[in-house]
Amino acid sequence: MSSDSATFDLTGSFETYNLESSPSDTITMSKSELLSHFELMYTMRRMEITCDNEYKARNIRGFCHLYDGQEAVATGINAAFDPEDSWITSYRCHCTALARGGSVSSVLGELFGNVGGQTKGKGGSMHFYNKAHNFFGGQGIVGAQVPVGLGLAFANHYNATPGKPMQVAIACYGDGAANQGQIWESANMASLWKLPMIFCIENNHYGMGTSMDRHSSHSDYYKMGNHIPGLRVDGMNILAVKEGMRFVKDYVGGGNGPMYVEMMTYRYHGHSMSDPGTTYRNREEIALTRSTRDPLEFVKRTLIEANFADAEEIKEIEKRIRKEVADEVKVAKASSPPTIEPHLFEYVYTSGGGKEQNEFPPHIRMPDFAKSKFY
Amino acid sequence: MATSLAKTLLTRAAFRRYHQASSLLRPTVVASSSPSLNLRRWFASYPPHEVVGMPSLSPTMESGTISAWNVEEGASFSAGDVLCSVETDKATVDFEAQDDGVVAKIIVAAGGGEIPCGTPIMVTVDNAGDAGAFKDFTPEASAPAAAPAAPEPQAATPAPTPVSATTPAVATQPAPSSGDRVIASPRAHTLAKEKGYGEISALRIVGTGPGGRIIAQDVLDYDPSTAPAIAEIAVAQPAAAAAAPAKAAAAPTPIPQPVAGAGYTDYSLPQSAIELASRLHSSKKNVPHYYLTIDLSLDSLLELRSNLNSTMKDGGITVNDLLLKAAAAAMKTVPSANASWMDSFVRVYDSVDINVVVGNGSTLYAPVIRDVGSRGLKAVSDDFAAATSALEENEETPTAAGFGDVGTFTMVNVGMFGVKSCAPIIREPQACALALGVIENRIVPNDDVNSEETYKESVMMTATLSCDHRVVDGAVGAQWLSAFKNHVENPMTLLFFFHFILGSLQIFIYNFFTPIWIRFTPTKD
Repeated sequence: MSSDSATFDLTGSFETYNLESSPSDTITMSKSELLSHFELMYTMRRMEITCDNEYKARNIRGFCHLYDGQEAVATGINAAFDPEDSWITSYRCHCTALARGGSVSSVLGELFGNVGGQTKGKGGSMHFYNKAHNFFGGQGIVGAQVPVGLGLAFANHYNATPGKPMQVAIACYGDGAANQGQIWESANMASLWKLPMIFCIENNHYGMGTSMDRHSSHSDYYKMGNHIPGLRVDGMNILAVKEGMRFVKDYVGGGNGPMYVEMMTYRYHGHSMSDPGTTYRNREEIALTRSTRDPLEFVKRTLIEANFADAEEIKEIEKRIRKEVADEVKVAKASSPPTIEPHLFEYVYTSGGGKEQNEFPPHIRMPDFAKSKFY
Repeated sequence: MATSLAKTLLTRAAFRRYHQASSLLRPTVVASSSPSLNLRRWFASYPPHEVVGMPSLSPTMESGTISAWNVEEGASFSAGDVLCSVETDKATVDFEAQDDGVVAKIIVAAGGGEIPCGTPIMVTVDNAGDAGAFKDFTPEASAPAAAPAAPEPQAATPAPTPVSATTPAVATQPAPSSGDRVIASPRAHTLAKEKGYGEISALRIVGTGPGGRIIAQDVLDYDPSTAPAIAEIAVAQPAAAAAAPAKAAAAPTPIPQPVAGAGYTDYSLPQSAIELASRLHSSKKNVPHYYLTIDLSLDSLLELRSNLNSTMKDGGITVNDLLLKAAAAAMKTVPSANASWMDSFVRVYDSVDINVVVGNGSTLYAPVIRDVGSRGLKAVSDDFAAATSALEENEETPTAAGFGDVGTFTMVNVGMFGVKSCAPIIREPQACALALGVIENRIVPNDDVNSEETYKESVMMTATLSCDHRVVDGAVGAQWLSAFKNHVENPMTLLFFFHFILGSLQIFIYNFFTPIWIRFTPTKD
């Protein structure tokens, strides 16, 4: 019924800046890989819809920024990267947390505030974290993740084995954050020291409620690095994202310095759950994007056209994933909130006590606590 | 053939019933093909569906009204379509669908009033063919979203748990239930554990930290030997009703000394003060007060008083006594002000019993002078003098007759402080209260035609009448106050009311304006 792999055409998905090379115009992908991408994206979509429903049912409270419509970006980056590459992103992080070592029950458990959640119910929507999978959050302050991502790139550069390509670090942020001052500073340092840093702008065209034209004087974000090369990718096309990120990773990991990557994508929900999302844009625009550029529809079409699966199989996969997500939601709800004993004071100090008991390597010069004792 | 079909349907129906949850996200049944609708209804089970509750469209939304439905039963919708417009307290927000589906049943119609978040409003299905099965659908249980919220407040209501007197005084009874959070610092928790007191929430310590927090010092000061006493008292009072009557019956305990703090001093309240405070509060809250003010010229009254005092041996008639009589006379003129609101009827009293508010420095008392209307001026004066002298003798709660009783009218005089007027709080269940201001000389226009001066001096006082609008409407209150002024400024009319017969003549003349509730007396059929 289906061949094992197929080649897909990607013309028109990329625009380069300051680059001699560019991503390839075609990508070859196997059936199992594309199906796995579809499953991950569909899980992300169902999970975000579940978050919406649970928020409206008042089971989730507080901040909740949803990622549906942008699934291809997270899935594509994850597909192109190694697990050792560092990834840091903004508060719109549920799907990235899912891709990097999370499960629907751990993500939703965290949103419900239960101990079974990924950060033990103490972080909430904006503070996911998974060090084992090199996912560093989950940041609440707009644009704050970029200097931290630069630090991760510096660490990767520092720890690189000569002769092997460096692990890269990527910081994802939105078009609204792109003009933050610290990002320019980070870009300077990255370029100066040729760090393996990827500045990834997830351009969903709206900074909260302000459209791109009204919040940015320069809306070609991939050109923002001035002399730093840039790449613009169609972020609704999982294949393009994967191929683009593969190219970027090769370039950046090879010690050529940082790169700006702009993902042209869209979010269906408002900025957060307290934003209906229709006061600054038309419903027609949202509906049009849903019907013409939806990343999930694209993958389904691609699967069918490449004869990897037929409509029935896809429906079956969808049903299965819906059920799985629903079951995981039940598991998440069954967990209980953290208690004062023992959870409240866990992870506040390093194990073994407070700062006096930390051991620092001799080259770290710490203050003399006996002399500077005023705390 | 039929039996095997029935068997298959039975298992399918049971399978579907398992999946039939009234939650927002329901699992999908794997078997998709189904027999005709009729057979499904036989087994009274519904195809896989979702019961959608009223969404909370903003974080602060507690309830909303559906102002309009954008879809009909049987219509299909896709993700992003508006299902209905919901009117919240802030704005009208559109409720969008997140998924594709078909509307099976609309449970709450548009304009159906305000409903809390979580109440089922519609049922959706995936297949258009299933939609027809929901004609008789009723939401079985309330949405689970409401359920977790509901037990929490119920659990958290502070427990006057009916504890029978026979249960032994356990230190943990009546501890705040699991929903309550005891605010204590982590150090206090640790200290309590170290000292073996156990859970800090069971200790009933009053915190002295910021915001009433239990701090380490409180735990160190806590003496476990006093704890069982608290628990015993709590157990011994079967808290069926409010604990206040029980406490009032107990012997009055000595009031503790004021406690000084950093920048403040706390004064403990005796039970009587607490009761008075709550009475005043409920009065102000429940009674619709309105206020009428009038200026009284006291020249004639003062002249009458000096005449009476000089002619009577051991005179002792005060201005206050004369004003009491004037008030009672006004009551005779407008008897509907001498009444009480009794929720479904109005009670008009025959005699005028006036509570006169007096104070002995720090506390106020309101002894009752009985039947001011038909008793003589001297009798009233003697009564009042007895009450005030009893007040001066007893420093503590005066137990003289009439001190705690409630009359039909209240009078308060704040003139001694120089206050011009005062709007008093009506004492329930009375209908009116009169406050008298300072007696002072004022310049008034001279109505003497022959005099050269256009002004003259007159001794004036401002009187304010608070009325309960449920009993005494504006016209009746004004009538009363006008009658009062008439009696005060023509004090000879006070003498008429010693005789009952003449009194009734006056009633006939003045009662043109009757309160509304008298006008509406039903005719006898």
